[in-house]
Amino acid sequence: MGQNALHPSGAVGAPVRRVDADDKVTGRARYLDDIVLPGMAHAALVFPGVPHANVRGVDDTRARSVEGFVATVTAADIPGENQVGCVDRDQPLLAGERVRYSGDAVAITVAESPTAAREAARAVALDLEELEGVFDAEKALMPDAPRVHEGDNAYLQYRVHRGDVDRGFDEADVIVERTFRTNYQEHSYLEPLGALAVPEDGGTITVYGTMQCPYYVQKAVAGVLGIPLARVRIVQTVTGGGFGGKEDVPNEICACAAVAAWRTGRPVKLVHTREEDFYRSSKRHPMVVRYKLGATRDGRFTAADITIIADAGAYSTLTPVVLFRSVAHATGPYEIPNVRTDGYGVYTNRQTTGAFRGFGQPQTIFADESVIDEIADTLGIDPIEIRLANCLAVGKRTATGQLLEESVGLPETLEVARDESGWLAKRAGESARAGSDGRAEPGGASRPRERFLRGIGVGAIYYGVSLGAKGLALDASGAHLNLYRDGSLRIAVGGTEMGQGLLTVLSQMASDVLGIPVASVHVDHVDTSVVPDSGPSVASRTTLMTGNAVIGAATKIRRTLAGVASGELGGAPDEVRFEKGRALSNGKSIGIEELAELCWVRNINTAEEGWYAAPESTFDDNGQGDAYAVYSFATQIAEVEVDSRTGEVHVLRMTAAHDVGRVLNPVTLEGQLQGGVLQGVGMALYESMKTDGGVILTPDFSTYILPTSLDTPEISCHAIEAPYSKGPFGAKGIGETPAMPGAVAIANAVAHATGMRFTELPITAEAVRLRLAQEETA
Amino acid sequence: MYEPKWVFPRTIDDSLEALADESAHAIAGATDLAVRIRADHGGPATLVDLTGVPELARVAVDGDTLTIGAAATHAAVTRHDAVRQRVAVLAEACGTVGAPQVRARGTIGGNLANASPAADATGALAALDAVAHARSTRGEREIPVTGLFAGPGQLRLEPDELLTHVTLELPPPGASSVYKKLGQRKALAIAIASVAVTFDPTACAVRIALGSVAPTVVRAEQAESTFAGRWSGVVGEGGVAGQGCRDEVMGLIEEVAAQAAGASSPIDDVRASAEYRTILVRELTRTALEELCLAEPRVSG
Ligand SMILES: Cc1cc2nc3c(=O)[nH]c(=O)nc-3n(C[C@H](O)[C@H](O)[C@H](O)COP(=O)(O)OP(=O)(O)OC[C@H]3O[C@@H](n4cnc5c(N)ncnc54)[C@H](O)[C@@H]3O)c2cc1C
Repeated sequence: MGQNALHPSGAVGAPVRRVDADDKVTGRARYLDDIVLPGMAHAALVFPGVPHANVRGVDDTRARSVEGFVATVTAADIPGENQVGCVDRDQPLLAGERVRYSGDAVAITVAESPTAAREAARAVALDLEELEGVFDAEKALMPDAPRVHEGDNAYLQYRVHRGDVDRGFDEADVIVERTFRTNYQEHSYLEPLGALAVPEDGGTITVYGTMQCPYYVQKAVAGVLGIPLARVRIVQTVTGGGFGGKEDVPNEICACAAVAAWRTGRPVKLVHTREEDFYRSSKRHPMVVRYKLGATRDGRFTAADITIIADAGAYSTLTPVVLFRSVAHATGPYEIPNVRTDGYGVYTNRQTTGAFRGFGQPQTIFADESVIDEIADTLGIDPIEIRLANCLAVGKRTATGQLLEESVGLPETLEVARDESGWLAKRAGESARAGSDGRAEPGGASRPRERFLRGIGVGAIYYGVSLGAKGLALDASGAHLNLYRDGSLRIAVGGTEMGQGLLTVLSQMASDVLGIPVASVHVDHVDTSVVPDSGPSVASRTTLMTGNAVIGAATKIRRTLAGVASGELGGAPDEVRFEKGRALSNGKSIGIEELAELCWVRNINTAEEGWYAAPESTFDDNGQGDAYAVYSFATQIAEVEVDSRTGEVHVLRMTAAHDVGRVLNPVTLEGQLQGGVLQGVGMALYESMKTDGGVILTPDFSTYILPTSLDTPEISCHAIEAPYSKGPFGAKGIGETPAMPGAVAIANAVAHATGMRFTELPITAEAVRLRLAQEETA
Repeated sequence: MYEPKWVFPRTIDDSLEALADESAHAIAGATDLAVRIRADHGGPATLVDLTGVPELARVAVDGDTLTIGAAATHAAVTRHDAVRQRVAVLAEACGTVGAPQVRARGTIGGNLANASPAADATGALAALDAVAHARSTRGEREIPVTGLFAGPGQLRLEPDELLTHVTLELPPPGASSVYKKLGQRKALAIAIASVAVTFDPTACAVRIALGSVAPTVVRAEQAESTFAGRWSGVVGEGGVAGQGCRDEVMGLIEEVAAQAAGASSPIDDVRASAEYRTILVRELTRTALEELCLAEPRVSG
């Protein structure tokens, strides 16, 4: 990976091998479904088969005769509140009265094996009175549309209003307005959702599960069981991917397992099949984005007018937080003086939509970055030049009026991506001129049609790290560190490892603060009984928030050790240095393990708590305020080749330049970048959820098309370091930005190659070929 | 709960005995059948596993005849020297099936017997005029591959009949062939459309089989005869490199490709629309014919 990284002496910044690599590569890692307990039963969910209906009855007579049947659990068996709504309280755990989408669970069957549980679930007869449904967010806005809940389908609205938009358009020499549409995107993590609930002594319950947000789950389980939080313990098992899909949905899975366990008095496991996961898990919001942008002749943006309609699906789930982010960031990473953004969240009888890497932004990014390219084309300005001329930098203001005071590496990401990709030559068509391979030059639209058309395109983004003004109450994180008498350190945290490398970077941070080797550090997965509520592991916040909590606790231990060391070696306590397993002072040194042993002998505490709370953020009724404490920035450039015979788009190369504040580990960072880039490729070209009246027609990986390794382009990654003063070692969040600019960069490259601009994703081979056919006949 | 009886014959005769039982069903690589059993929550009461019958896995050349055992895997066929050198279309078709794991298990017999219009090996075998050999305890018969199918999933075999092998005549030296498939991605992709094309310049003949664009794999017969009727006239003495000839060849290819598209009767499904499939048949046929007919003559063998 190319980077201008500071070259550190310690673990932070070094390519430390992932601490969980061996377990995962050898298969030793224990995922949820690997756990088997004595007396364990298995649960399955009873699905309605229709998207909208009143439930008149549940008859399990036939299910009872399935061999191994244990119990049927219905809404009436829920001891607490039948409610798992994450933000709005609109979602029953079991649809006892009304089914609002085809993935709603009406009942749970429990049996001695997963197969028997599913057989029993299929044998449960539901008496349903079908209702007319609404399956399109725009149609759901019509006055006569069927209502999904009591109130209006358009149940949610956010806005960012700034300056005088009409005047801004008056000042513009060129205005482009278009409507963009995006489809669902499925998280497609390797490990499907699953939970194992175990009723234990003293009226307590422990629930194991694959998840991002154990504290959400704790609240959901306590709620449905009607017991205090203190009696609910949630243990996150090794988690095979999340991408946002394990933010809120595990609440439902774990609550179902908990209710079934409570009812039967047995440990109950519930693991989704892939198809069940497609039906029941949340997805990226399909959005309609109407985008109007004005610019002066010299390429300065004057005004933006944006309307966003987000399909929330049957329940609100995380739509309020996702839509807040879409609206707050809708202008893209540019200074635009006059902005009117209105976003609406709309209920439909479709799958619920929630968090997905990028969190509501990739949809609006597709719009803003496409329109900017059209403006640049119209004005004859290079797309990167026009972005550099308008982009955020220190001293500029975001659309919410926030003054950026530090850590804005955006201009550098644009420049590095431009230079590393060879943009200027390729955009102008020089690189392909040789033509010895029979390939056409870029910008092929104006030339006679060659079979293969090449193009290059760019996308730039910003991302407010952590939860921002709409999630402030959740925005703190804890850590518990215990230095043992042999100098080894065990860390408990409230942030989750889901494959992103958290355990490794936390080990590196603690290692540097205390001067102990990474191998002496062990970090556990989350157990809610050990660390206080640390909020969710989402929004690129975990390395920053949990990292700061770990550093805080480690610093306290270090202070204790420094006191003991200065007593032993001489010198002032605050001048003791910790390096390579030793404390150094007064020209002498002592091993950390000796110091730890001394503390133990002298009854000095070496276990500490760390706690980090996010700085204040604000967002008023007009969407003005310091919405997020800090932002991450990125630019990606895509090079494509379009086969005009088949319509296939081959992505040849992606260049990703990301401002990450500080590189904590170049290898895990590159892993994040590559994976995210590939999700962008998927969103741009392949991933298309086909539905019909609320039923998913592509509920598996043979029909829902993800890119494979053969569809993966060369990915060239570059880190830019604009340190954040409050970040751990200067780092900012990096979880989501990799998946954000790629899709539109590809769309812009296709436009460059073919002269055709697509306003819907994915740009499948069929879509390209049929457009070409239209142009041929036109 | 589905718990089939699983039997493991070692010879063809034992397999036939086992299949004579009404509840019995053949299983080879299981890459189609296991998927179906999972979707149906059940399946045949008895499974007759063909993977332990060595005779069924044989791939061999005898004179100009290629014999492929029904239980030969796609991987084995793709690897086979004679297949690669003399019937590239079959090596390529088998090489596009799924991914390495699927090719290591999936068999030619399973590909045929599944009777999918998208079956890749089946398309190539249809273009090669291959003949399927079926046996039961009642006797043996031969069926041209193109005559095996009555519709999607509908095989013209009796339940107790076993496909033992397919045979085909290896094309003469100078002949060439190619498989063109478009899926939704580069691997693990069922064809949206495919064409298998063989070209014999000496006989002035092409054979074109179309996949995924009709209820069964079909041959584009009118396109084939248009080609046969016009090729020698178009090419003349100087071969394809001759002045002016190239344009005429291109013209003929365009026409043949359009007729191939006419031979398709595609539907809309989750993978693609009928409209796109029709375009693809034309484009894939055109590309295949350009590669075969405009290539410098190669010495094969
Ligand atoms: C992930 C995946 C990807 C795939 N991709 C492709 C692809 O790209 N292209 C493609 O063409 N196919 C594809 N397939 C389908 C499948 O792999 C092939 O059709 C394969 O050739 C089937 O062979 P099998 O031995 O596995 O058949 P099985 O599943 O064992 O059997 C299939 C059917 O054939 C019958 N049968 C098998 N052998 C005989 C015999 N000798 N005589 C009579 N009946 C017999 C069985 O009874 C059964 O009804 C894919 C499958 C999967 C799971």
